[in-house]
Amino acid sequence: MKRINYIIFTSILLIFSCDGFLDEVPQSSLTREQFFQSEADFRSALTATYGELQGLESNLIRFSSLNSDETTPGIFGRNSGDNFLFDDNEYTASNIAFQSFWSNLYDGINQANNIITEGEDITLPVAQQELVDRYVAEAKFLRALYYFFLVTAYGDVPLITEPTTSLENLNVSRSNAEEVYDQIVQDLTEAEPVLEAEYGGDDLGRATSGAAAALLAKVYLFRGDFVNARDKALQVINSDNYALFDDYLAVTRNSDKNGIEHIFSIQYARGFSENDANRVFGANRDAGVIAEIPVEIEGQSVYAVEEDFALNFPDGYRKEVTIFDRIVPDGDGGTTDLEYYHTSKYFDNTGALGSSGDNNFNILRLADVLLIFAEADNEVNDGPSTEAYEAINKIRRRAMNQDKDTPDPAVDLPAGLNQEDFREAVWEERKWELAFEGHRRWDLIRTGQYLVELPDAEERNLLFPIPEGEIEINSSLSQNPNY
Amino acid sequence: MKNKLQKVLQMSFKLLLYGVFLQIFFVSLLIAENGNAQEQQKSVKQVYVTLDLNDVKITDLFRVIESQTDFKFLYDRKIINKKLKFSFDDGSKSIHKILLDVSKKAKLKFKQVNNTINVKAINDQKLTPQNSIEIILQSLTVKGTITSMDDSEGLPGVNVVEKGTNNGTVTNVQGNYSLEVSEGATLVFSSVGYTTEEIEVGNRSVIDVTMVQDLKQLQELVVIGYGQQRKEDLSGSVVSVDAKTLEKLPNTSFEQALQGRVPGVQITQSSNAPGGGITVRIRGGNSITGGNEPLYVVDGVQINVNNEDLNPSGNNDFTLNKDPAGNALASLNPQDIESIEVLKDASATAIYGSRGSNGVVLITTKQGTAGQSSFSYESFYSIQTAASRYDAMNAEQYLDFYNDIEINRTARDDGDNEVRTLSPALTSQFVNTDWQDEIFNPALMQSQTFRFVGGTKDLSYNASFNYFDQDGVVESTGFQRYSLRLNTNGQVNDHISFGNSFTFTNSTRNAGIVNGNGFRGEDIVMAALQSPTIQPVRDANGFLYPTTRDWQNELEAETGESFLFPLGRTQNPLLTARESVNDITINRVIGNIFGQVEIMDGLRLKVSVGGDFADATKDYFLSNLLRSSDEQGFAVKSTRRNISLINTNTIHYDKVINGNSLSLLGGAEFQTNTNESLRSAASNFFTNAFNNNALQAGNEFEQPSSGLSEWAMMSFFARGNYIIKDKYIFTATARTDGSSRFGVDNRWGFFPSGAFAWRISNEPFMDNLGFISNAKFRASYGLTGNTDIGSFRSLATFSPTGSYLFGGNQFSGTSPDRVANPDLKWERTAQWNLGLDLSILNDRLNLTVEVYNKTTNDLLLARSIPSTSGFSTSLQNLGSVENKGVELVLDADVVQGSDFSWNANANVSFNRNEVLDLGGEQVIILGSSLCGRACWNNRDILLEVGKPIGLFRGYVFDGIWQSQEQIDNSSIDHGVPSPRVGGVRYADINGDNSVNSEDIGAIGDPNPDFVYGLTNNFTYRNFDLSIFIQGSQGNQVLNHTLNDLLYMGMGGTQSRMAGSANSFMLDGSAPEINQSTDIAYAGRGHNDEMDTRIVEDGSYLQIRNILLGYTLPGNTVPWMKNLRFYFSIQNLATFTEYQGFDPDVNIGGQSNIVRGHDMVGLPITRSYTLGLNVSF
Repeated sequence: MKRINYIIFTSILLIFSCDGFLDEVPQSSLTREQFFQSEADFRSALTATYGELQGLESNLIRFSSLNSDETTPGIFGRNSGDNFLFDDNEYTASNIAFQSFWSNLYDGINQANNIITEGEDITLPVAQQELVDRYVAEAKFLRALYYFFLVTAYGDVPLITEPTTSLENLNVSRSNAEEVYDQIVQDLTEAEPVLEAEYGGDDLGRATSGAAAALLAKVYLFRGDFVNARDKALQVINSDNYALFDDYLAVTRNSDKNGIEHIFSIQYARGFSENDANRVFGANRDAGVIAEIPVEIEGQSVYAVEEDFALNFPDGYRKEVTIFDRIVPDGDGGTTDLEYYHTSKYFDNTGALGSSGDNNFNILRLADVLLIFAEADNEVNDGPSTEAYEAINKIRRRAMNQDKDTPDPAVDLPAGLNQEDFREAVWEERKWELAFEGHRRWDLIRTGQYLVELPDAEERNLLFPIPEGEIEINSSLSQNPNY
Repeated sequence: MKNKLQKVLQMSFKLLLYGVFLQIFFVSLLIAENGNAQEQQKSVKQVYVTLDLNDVKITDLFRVIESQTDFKFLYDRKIINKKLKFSFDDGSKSIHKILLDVSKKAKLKFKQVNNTINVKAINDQKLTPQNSIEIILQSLTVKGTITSMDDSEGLPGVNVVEKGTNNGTVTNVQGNYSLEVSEGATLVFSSVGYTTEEIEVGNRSVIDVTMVQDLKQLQELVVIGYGQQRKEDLSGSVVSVDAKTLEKLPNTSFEQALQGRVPGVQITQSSNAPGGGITVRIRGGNSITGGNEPLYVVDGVQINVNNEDLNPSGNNDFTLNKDPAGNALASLNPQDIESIEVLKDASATAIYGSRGSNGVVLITTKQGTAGQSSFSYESFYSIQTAASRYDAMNAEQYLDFYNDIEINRTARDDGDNEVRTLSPALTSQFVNTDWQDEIFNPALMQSQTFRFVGGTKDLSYNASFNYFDQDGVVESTGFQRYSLRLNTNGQVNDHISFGNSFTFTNSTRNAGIVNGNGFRGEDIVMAALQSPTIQPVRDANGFLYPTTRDWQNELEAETGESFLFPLGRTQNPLLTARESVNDITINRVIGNIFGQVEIMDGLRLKVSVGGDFADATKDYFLSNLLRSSDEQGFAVKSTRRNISLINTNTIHYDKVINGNSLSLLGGAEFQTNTNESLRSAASNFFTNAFNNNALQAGNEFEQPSSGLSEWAMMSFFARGNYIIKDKYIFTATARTDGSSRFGVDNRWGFFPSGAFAWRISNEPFMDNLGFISNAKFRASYGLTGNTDIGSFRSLATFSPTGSYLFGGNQFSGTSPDRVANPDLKWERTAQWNLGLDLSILNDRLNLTVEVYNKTTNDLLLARSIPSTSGFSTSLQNLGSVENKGVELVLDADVVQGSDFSWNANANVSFNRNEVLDLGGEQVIILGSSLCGRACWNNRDILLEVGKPIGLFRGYVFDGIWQSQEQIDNSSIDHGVPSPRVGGVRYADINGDNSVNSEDIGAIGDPNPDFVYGLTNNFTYRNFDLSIFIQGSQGNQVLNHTLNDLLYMGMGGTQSRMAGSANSFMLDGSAPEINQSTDIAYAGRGHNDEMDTRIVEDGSYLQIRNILLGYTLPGNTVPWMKNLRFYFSIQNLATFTEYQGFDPDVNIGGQSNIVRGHDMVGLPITRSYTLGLNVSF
């Protein structure tokens, strides 16, 4: 009896106990051992790291436009109390926007850490190795950019530069903002010489050495290191790789993506991944043909332009491109008075009203760098130099749709401004030139104007709260004051 | 009332007792009466005896005659007058003469049948002594062998009786019998456990009979894991449901029929849509984020019931929510099911080891019967209607509400603006549309089943075909199924048998754009609830208005007047229904082939190979008439294939040793599962004509995606069962499983269990308690596991997700999925169970009580980890959960008459669920992702140590701010958002004088206090009536729909509930409303938190089914075996306080965290069914 059982059991075991019956071999994913083996693996990992950029503009706009003097909730944005909370500086730490921005950026940072750590370990044939070295530099640029967004939004943040490979030690505490800035500067400084000055074809859109330099200039400016800010900005300006567009319209137009003025942008294309700015600003139409604005646009905007912002916007071509008047033709020869002003900056005639856009979202462009230079130079020299004047005036001339290199006293800043007046003029210029491009809140805070310009704001609003969920999970995290 | 019942019970008890005694009496007589065949039959007139007797009793006289002749007397002692004495003097007399004398004096009559003389009392006065002796001489002898249908062996102990007489015999050990009968006799064959057969003898001398097992007796045999057991031998907790229960309810799938019928089992539908997903919880949910569905085993094949595994939708760009998965079990035709066994305790489920902790449902399908060929046709037609509605505004209320918004908007803007009103030119064009009427229409359902059953003792079969077609009450929803089944059983020789179970199903679920499928206004039901009632459905030419905006624009253009503010862009739900396709088609084969060898007496080896092969395709299309389809049409074709193969090898050994029975089982099982998916989509079509059948005609293409995941399992198991003297039952099981899903360090798990049962009623000391017919005490303890997590979850993998554009072209990227966790292992559930089965009054009243406690440790928990890691969650073994409860079943045959009978069955289950540990955390906050537009922080679910799983989380509503003074005078800091007049005020729960996130806590519990079911079955002659009531008490529902329609919708114009008319008025124009309303001021949303206002009591009592049937009396139509008609009403009435469509709602599907959440959903469906069953 027992013997029979034994024999049968044994035979069954023999049939089935082939090795590996229970081994898990993923078929539609890769283990770390399988991955990071070739140049193509690194390229693919880097692509996903760039991918974290897409969608960032939703929060960037919410933070920089809604949570500043640029916009207010439009008809489409009035259903969500969330929009009012940002408009009125009444948000709390539990707001999902803070969590999504945070998670999004740290996702990107972890991916960049993977590339940097694995890439510095690997040895490949020379041609491949060169590319992988560049990918590591690109990853450093992205890591720096992501940390820059974090440090401006939240202040002190956990500084992590190694990939996450185990569940140990995940509760990282916040590092001093200065340490974070040091890491950003180090990453950019290391990346800049390795990156290419420009890319073509299927590499268009990658981080260039110019992008690293421009971001460095900006970071230095945010830290108040005006000498380095000026030098880096000047390096970009003098690199001959960039120039202002002749037409201000081209700055955000989809047909001029990755143009001469653009240094680094979040890449979008209709049908693949689209720019949320178009949806929230409700601006998918050709701004050049204002008469054709359908009244429908009224219902399309989530963020409408603050009335004061629209009324104070200096008249001229740049305003026509940026703001459209709320008095619009109604098609019957009369006009309709819309409830709100809107921005038409993200015009894109390829999409339907209310949909996302085909155009890129600018992170760095030459006009920004010119203004960084003007501002820093003014601080370094305790007053504006000719070069600083020229930098801002180029922008002012183009704003009036004039030749940017031909001085025009009617348009140029009056000569002989003192340091303070010039500083304010640059700040003012940034406000109009870079409107709705994700700069305003940070510029206001950086220049100490935030609490002045936004009556609802309190001291605590200068930093966003650390996401409540993160604090609940990670006992080592502290909250910013008064949240 | 109570006394009456008692009397009835006592009376019936008495009668029953008499009946039993009588039966026993006759049986013993029959056994005694084993007739000897004789060469020659002689009449009593021909046989002479010489008697010399003085004063003998009749019985003594009979004995003397018996001793001198071959005659035997057969009598009931009661009819013999013992005082009568007879004397016979010397001399030869015929027996006939002697009996005549006796007859006269003793008032007895005699009937001679061959050598037997039956004695009976004379009741008929007219009977003369000459007639009192009847002589029947026979020479017809019938012989034969009686065999049992199930094993074709000779059946000993079968009673063979000539109908209408006491003439009979019993079969011997070989099953042979021989009996002399009179001409024209009919033989009755009967045996306990078998259906009684009546056969006319005619001219035959040999009659062989195959006895068919009585179905009622079959129920007593219970299917358990890898075997069968007599119900009385069970030591674990097993509930059996027979097919008749299933047949009563016209359902898409069988589990719906189980709702309220099985104690300890809670069944909820995630959607009332045809073929919608179903959640089954046996004794509460053990796992927080792992699977909680029981394991289903169909004829030995473990099938896949993870609804998602058969859901081909993948990610749908146009919906925030994943398309709710359909019901994976709808592939089985409920009419094919013979019985369902629900295994609940560890003793019963541990044989399934790592897959047993959520309970096991064993499904046995109908098998063939040898020698009983029949063809049957089962059919029903139903009309279904929507049985619940939201209380929506009518046109007048809507207009008032619209004006209120304007008043509030104006008042908010510091009153500078004049309050505008709608121009009469517009209002005169308004209508009163009941949108719910427009989308809910009566719908048909039908089911047609054809079945052939039959075979010989070597090969039997059951073949069936089923066509099922259900239209949903919402246009564009429905479910169709074609299924084929073939079950065969064969016998090669006495030692080798084989068989198969096989079903093929083609089913299509028209899922429609419902169940929160899309938050951008596509959801047909949501759109109907949000469309303004003042808007007509169609324009003057009969065309549907595409959106509210289209109507508004047209009206404004026509009248030259404008609305005060836009009404939104809600899409016409009828247009969505007509211009969209969302079908999921599943082709599925579930089956196995098995062979069995009887190596020696009692030792059987069984090998079975089978599988579950499923192929699902999703067809999704939004035409270019729908605004959300990117204006140009959107089409998806996606597929998912799940192939599960299983090989089971078992050895059974049964032996009876000294009256104690031993049964042993050993086995090895190997299983693999492969799941593949493919999705492609395109948009921007120049025509709608292609539907989704020519994706290449699109101008924009979604990146195609495909995936593959696999798992494997290897198991060894054993069970021993030892029954001592039919009183003490011992069971031990053990299984060891190796699963590929777990970390290399924790791949194998061991799951033992033990049980003991004591049949107290078989103890001698119970003899005095004769009214207790059965009493059994059961106790069990064991360990089971749960492996239901996705594949590869222990590995750190990189997946092709995340892409980016370079140079305007998209490139795919690769990003990390998770952090490795090589320690990942099984969830382990330890469960004890105590049970008592008690039957009294000869099994007329049966009571079962069970008490259990389950503790699940090492929970597979997707724990939140700091996002700074680059990941948001990690699957870890953390914490523990306890479920404990009591289950009661009471079954009573209240009346058991020949004409009228009444059976009542009631069950109630109490389960208490408690989180014991969360890996050191006190609280874990999770989100349902159902908050939609209204709730921005998706943190509406709370897990807290010491409390049940899945609590709703939010603020406690404390009224509406009435005035600025009230705000200014408040001593409590209400933080942000700053309090505003007309806004919502939340309570300061922790008493720190500040309202902030610390005041957010548990505001509701989806777990019921108890669930219950009550079934009453009545039969009167050929009529039968059953009434089934089912309910749940004490559970709460988080009504997200109400949030969208009433409270959060106040921000704009989405609100369409009648209650919205009570919104706060900022200008103070309605002071009575201002103080009593719980609705913030209309016109601007400022209260975007979850709060107690949307937590509702979900208790309900539902008259789930009433069925009236009529069965044609037998032999009415000679060539027809059975004919039955029935009429039933399902979901006749629901008694509940719940405001939504259905309190028995669970949009979270199989999730154990998202329970009791309602997001749009569909109304309860009431159906009226007419059915016919006929067999030949």
